Amino acid sequence: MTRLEFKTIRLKNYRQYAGEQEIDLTSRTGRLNIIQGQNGAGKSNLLNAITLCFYGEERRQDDSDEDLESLPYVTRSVLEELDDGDSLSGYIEVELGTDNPEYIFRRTFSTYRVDSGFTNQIGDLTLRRRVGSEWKEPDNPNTHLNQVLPATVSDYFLFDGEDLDAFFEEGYTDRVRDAILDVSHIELLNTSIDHLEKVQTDIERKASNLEGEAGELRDQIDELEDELEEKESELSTTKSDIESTETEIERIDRKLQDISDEVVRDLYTEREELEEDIKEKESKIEDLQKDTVELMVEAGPVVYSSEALDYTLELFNDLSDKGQIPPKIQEWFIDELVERGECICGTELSEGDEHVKHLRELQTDVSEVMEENLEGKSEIPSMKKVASGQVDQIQDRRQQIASLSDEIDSGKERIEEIKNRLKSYDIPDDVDIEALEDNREQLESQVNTLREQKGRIEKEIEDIESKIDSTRTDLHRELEKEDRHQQILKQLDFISDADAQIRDIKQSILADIRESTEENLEQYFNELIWKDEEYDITLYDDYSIAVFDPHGDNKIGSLSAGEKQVLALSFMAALTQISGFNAPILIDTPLGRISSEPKRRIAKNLPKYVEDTQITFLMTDEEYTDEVQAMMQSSLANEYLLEFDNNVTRVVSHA
Amino acid sequence: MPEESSGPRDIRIADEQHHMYQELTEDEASPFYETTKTDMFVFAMGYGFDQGLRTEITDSRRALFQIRDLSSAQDWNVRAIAVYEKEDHRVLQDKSEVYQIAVEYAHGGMDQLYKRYTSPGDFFSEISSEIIQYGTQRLADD
Amino acid sequence: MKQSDVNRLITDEVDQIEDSDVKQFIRDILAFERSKIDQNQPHFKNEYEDLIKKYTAEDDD
Repeated sequence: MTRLEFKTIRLKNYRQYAGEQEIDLTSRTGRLNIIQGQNGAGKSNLLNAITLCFYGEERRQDDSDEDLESLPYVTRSVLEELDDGDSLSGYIEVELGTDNPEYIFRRTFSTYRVDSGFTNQIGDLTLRRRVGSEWKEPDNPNTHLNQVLPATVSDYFLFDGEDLDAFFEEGYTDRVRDAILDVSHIELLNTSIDHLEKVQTDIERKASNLEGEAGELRDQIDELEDELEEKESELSTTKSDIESTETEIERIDRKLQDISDEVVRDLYTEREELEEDIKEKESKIEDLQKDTVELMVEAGPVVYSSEALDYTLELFNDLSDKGQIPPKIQEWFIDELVERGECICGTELSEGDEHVKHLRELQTDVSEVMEENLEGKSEIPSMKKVASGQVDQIQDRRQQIASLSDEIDSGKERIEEIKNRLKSYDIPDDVDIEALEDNREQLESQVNTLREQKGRIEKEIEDIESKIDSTRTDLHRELEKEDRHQQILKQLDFISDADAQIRDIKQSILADIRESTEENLEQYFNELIWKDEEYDITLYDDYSIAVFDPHGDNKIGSLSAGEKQVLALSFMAALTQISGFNAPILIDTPLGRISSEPKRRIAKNLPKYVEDTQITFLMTDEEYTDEVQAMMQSSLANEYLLEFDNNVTRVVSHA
Repeated sequence: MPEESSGPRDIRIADEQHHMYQELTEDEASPFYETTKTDMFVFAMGYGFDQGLRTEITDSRRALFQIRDLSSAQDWNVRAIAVYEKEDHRVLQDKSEVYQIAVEYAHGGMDQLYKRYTSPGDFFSEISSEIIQYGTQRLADD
Repeated sequence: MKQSDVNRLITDEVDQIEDSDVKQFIRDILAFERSKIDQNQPHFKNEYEDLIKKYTAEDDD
């Protein structure tokens, strides 16, 4: 991995650093930068400058007595000219890159003069990033910074050496563990596992919500499909019935069409007419017969008993001639007699007496008989006359009937003839156009009924199909649920797989990393420590470290401050070997706690152990002795001196 | 001495002949279809007279119709037969006898008519031919 | 998500995974976690669920 390096650090009016000052840390040959300066000269503030720029905070307390926070960012000497309420600003710019600059992180800050004091303000982090040959200002500087050196691990790259001895104080195992896991990125694996498990729980919960009713719906669809099949079969039958009836109709039509030959048609027509005619005549005959019967019934008796009638009439005429049927006038004669009171025989007559009674009886009898007989005289001849007329009528009707019968007979003969003629036309003589047409009518009506039926069935089919569709939609929804269920199960399996894989990776890497760290730690420690002893260092699974001296005693609890610092430095160096971050290292006072003798050794060896990484040491005069300088010479890239005068520091190249 | 001149109310015929009247007047096939019982009786009477078929009725009798249903011509037909039968116009005073004679002729006449009706042959045409024949002969005198 | 953002030691191991879906999924979530290092409690569920859906949606294996 190509590690990023600090290219240039630029300061303007930051604390001791008045004006614009630039620290160029590029080099083609070395990786080691030394910035030498006394305590209070602003050495630690260089570290602060970087963290202030990156993370918006200063982490190191200066050696001076005053609380850093209360001091203005802006160089005090510059601030002096400020009036109340005015402000001045400055900036810190950190340039990073590999062979060439790639990132320019910058943060401005301001100090306001207020009453008797000052307030500080910092601006947002800005970034210029090289993309190809252009510099662009991305919207998210912090994201980019995060990719380079996140705040949480920045302590392993930008730190104060004098704090290192505290690293292996009580509770160090956690610090060791955190350092290893964070720097190696194994912590990412842990986080992934943790997050996967949380997601898994969520998804499992979803799975339990998906109980489907797919089975029921499938049954419903099956039923409906059976119904549909039935209906379709009905429809098919109806259709074929319609077809066969229509075929029948066509057949009739064809027959009727066959009768399109003019001659044949004429014969048919004639036959039809004859049949009509015959019907009419037969009906007429019926009427005539009825008439005749009525006449017969009236005239018959007269005719049959004509002898008696004649005799009676004759008798009455005789009696009349003989005067035995007095005229009606004689009736009043008796009335007169009674009135007169005297009969012609001389008997006295008066109303009420016997004689008158008798006469009245006689009158009645006589008149009755006379009247009757008189009636007979006129009635009988009249009857005879009427009867005679009726007989004539009967005769007439009989004649009519006879001629009609004749006509009917000849009509039937003709029909027979026609039949025979038609035979020669190969048309069955029993073809009755009327019947055909009746039949046809019937069939048409049948077809209509069937068509209605067809329509009804089709509608029923539509309804069933629509029901099937909606049930199917429901089924799909359920299946989708099932599907989703399947899907979810698939997802859960997948998560399990991924989880298992990540754990495997963690297992194997962790072992490697611990091993590597242990090895390096041991190696570095042995090389850096000034003692002429070989130590065995063990890094345990619980991240505790044992430092075994040649006697096998674990010295971890009894290391001196210097020794702890060395151990810590070794550890930091070991970390770079397993690091997932490609950031440069900057250490303030790396050898701070170490006494002079070991310093030499460390100074000589330390650069070796952080290969590929740019290191910048901020050293005091006591650390950076001539001897140390000499030992580091071959690895040196840049040397700077912090000249502190009048509360102002100037960075001076110390080539 | 004149007898009761009111006479019987109904024409009463033999029980056994009722079905004949029924058939002849109610069968569609009968030429006398839809003829009234009264007219049928008169016809049978005339026919029976012509054929000389006066027959006593020995069995029980039942009314066929009321005498007042006869038309006056039909009534004179009845009287004429009675007068002829008795050769005396004074029979007319005995209405019972008059109708008795009528009934007995009708009885014989209906028997014959029914026989002819139920036998093969064109009953209608035969009867009507007869009537025409007699009619033209006997009534032509006027 | 640059591969190089995650420690080579890890990415080399991830490369060894046979199942390509699982492999790519792990790469994606690690890259995601790497990008969220400084965040205290980043929202991860949506990202994870989307990725899981993505890699289980295909019909292979």
